[in-house]
Amino acid sequence: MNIEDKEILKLYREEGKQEFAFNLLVQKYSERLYWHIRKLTCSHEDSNDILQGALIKIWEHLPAFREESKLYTWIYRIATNETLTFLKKKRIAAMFSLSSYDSTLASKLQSDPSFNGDKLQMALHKAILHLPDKQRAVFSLRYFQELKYEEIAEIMETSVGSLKASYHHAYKKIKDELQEQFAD
Amino acid sequence: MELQQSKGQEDKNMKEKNNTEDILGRSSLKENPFGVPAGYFAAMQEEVMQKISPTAAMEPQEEAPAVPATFITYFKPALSLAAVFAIVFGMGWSVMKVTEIFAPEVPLAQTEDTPLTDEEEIISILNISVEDIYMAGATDTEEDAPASTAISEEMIEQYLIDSGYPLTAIATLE
Repeated sequence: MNIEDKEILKLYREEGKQEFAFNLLVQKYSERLYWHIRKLTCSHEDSNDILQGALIKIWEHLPAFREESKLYTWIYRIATNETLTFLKKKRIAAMFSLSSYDSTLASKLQSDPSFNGDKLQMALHKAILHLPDKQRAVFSLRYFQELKYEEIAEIMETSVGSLKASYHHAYKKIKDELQEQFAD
Repeated sequence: MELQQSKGQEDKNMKEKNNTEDILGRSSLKENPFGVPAGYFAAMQEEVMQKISPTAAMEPQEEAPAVPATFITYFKPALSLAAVFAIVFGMGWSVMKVTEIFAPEVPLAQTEDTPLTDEEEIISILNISVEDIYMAGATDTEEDAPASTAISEEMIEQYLIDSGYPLTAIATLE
């Protein structure tokens, strides 16, 4: 899908073409957003629910989008916030049931039949689960999605400086954890 | 000897280099290890479009099948109310019965007629009612006053004799 965001927005503002334009947007971004969410939740079912919720939220708030930020950073911000809210809720629910949500995620990842990676990849994704939620989102956006710090700052609504510090801290933690396991 | 030392140092440096090699720099780690069910993205996109489509929302919804009206349909509220009253009445009646069963029995002696007091006995002998006495006390007129004390000495005397008072004692009263 090579259509530009500006063209999608132009189409969206034409009368009777909102649904068509939104369909283009969904086709362009849904897969990327899904993988972003999946790397944070490690579960297909949860990722599907979050993604659908995020897309509906995008549809509902699109009339109020003023183009003060780029369309894709705005979309990523909604998807990231939806995921962080979901993780927070799950963490609170796990607290009441006297269990750890991180260990639940780790066991989900371990038993996921759709995971096709090797041992190192498994170790990487387990190490990512040890990060705090926001740091995990920053790491995922930078490491896997390869977004620029400026773009991530716009998505996470934070400064580039604190974002860089957060990413390097996360990077070092994961690197140390992996090197501890795969040093030889 | 020096050559051996430098070789050892080189090995050590190599090992250190391997250890400090950026493991996260490996391109294989950036590959996506997760999978999704076949045709997931197309199905998901269609599902989202159906959810946001106003035409889908405006489609007439299936009406709930009409429930045939029966006797129970019309009288259910009244029957429910009657049942509640019946239950409450039944519970009240049961409580009354239970308290009656477990109530302590009144001794037989208390149920019998209590012996008359002296005053009552006198009243019964004189064949006057309690009302008469009260009425007599309530009047202030001089005419009525004697009527209230219209008990002759003979009657008192007879009463004392009947009660078994000794005659000598009665004589002293006179």
